[in-house]
Amino acid sequence: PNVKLVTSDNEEFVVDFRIAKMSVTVSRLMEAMNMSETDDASLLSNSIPLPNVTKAVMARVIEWCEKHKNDEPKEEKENDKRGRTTHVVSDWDKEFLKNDEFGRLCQLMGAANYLEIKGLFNDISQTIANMIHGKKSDEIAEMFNIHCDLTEAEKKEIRKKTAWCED
Amino acid sequence: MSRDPVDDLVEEMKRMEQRSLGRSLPSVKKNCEMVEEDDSYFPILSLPDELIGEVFSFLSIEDRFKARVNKKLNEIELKSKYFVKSLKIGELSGAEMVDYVTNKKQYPYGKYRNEQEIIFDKEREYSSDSIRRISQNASIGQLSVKFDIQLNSINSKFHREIYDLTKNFDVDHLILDFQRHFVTEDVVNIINSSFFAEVTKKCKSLKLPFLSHSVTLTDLHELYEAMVAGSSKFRSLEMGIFASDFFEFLSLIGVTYRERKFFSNKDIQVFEDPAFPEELLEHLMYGLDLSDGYRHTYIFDGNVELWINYALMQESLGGEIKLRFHESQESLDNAKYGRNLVKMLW
Repeated sequence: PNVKLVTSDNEEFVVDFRIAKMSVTVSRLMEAMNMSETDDASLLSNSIPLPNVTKAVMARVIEWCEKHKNDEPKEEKENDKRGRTTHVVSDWDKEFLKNDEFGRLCQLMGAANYLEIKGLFNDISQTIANMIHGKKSDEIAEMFNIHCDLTEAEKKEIRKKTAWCED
Repeated sequence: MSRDPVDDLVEEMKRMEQRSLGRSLPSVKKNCEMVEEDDSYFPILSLPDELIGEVFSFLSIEDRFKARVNKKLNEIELKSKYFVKSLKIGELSGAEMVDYVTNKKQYPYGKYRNEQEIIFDKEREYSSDSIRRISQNASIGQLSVKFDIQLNSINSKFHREIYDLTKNFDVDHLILDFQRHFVTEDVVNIINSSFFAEVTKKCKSLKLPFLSHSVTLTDLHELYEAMVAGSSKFRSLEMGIFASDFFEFLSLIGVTYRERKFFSNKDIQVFEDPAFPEELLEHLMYGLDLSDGYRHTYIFDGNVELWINYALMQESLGGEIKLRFHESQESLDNAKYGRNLVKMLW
């Protein structure tokens, strides 16, 4: 069975029910609209509006979901409830995210968050974290084009707190 | 008359917007579109604070601290909660420190998120502010602190502050070590009754592998009774204890020890490690007679297991005990019968 998703720029995407279910948000909306996998009429007569996602981003999200639709659901361990342990970005996902320009990656992250697709969201978060990892403060500022608005006193305060990790 | 399904949908979507982390999503979209013309850098500041916080939760503590490059990121770092599975705080000096720093440079990806270390240089002076900051928004699975605490050290005040700060942490398993077996009075002043009470309420386990009088018998007895009664969330204590204190503790919990035998009016069970097999004894090179006496003792009282290091039974100055609460009958049975222990009957 197929489900119709409509983006903010009024593009209709027809996806498999299983793909649609990968988004917690879409799942909830389908429930609210009494749409069920076994009731074709309910699927045909309704479409899910997603006003926070554009056509271009939706296409990327669906591409990711297609690849991951057969993934084993990860069981929540005791630790996961309190916080994540290391998330490993698979080679396919790395390659997938490499194609996105920075601005698009940022939109994709927003969409993954809004649609509540945890795997994609973690992939992107980890990818951005990897950009930061191992860099010095000035390198990080340069990479993100961040103008430092800290006062000398605040900088001194920060240096005091990071004395153990500065060279 | 039923409600218009479209109304329901609108309601549901509103609820979802609130639930979703990216409450300010429309602004992300706008900002991202704005910067799309200049795509040479990642527009991290255009993400909502919560999402930046999410990215930070994937960083090591060191990276988090280094990423505080402007006011906004500094604030986000402080207000976003994160979890560290294991954190070791310690110090090194001289060649060891040089090795550590070289190693870190060579393998910057070595220590990532699960097992993190904060190593201070023994010869430099520090402030405890960094550790205080971590205690404000981090949850730690296992926190271990180990300094060689010395009165004349340039960092002795810093050391004491950090030990004291450990009680502020949201931590499951706390290990406080002092690189020495006997500790001085000033440690007793840090790990005092109120510290012990606070930590055993908050944590699941505590390890104090040194001999001191810092934990009083009243504290220990109270904890023991709470664990036996099942009214404490605390699960495991390991600590060094003077022999004189230990035997007094035994009598507090209603157990008498006479001529290698335990007596009690309570329904307790006592086990010992099995004797070493004869054929194995021949291979022991240290000339110790392990055939008798060098075996640990286990006392079971309800769901609580009290492990007693053999040294304590040898009339030595002190030794080690472990208190453990078994949550299930299975775990309890396994502790009693799954380790080849010998049940002592008197």
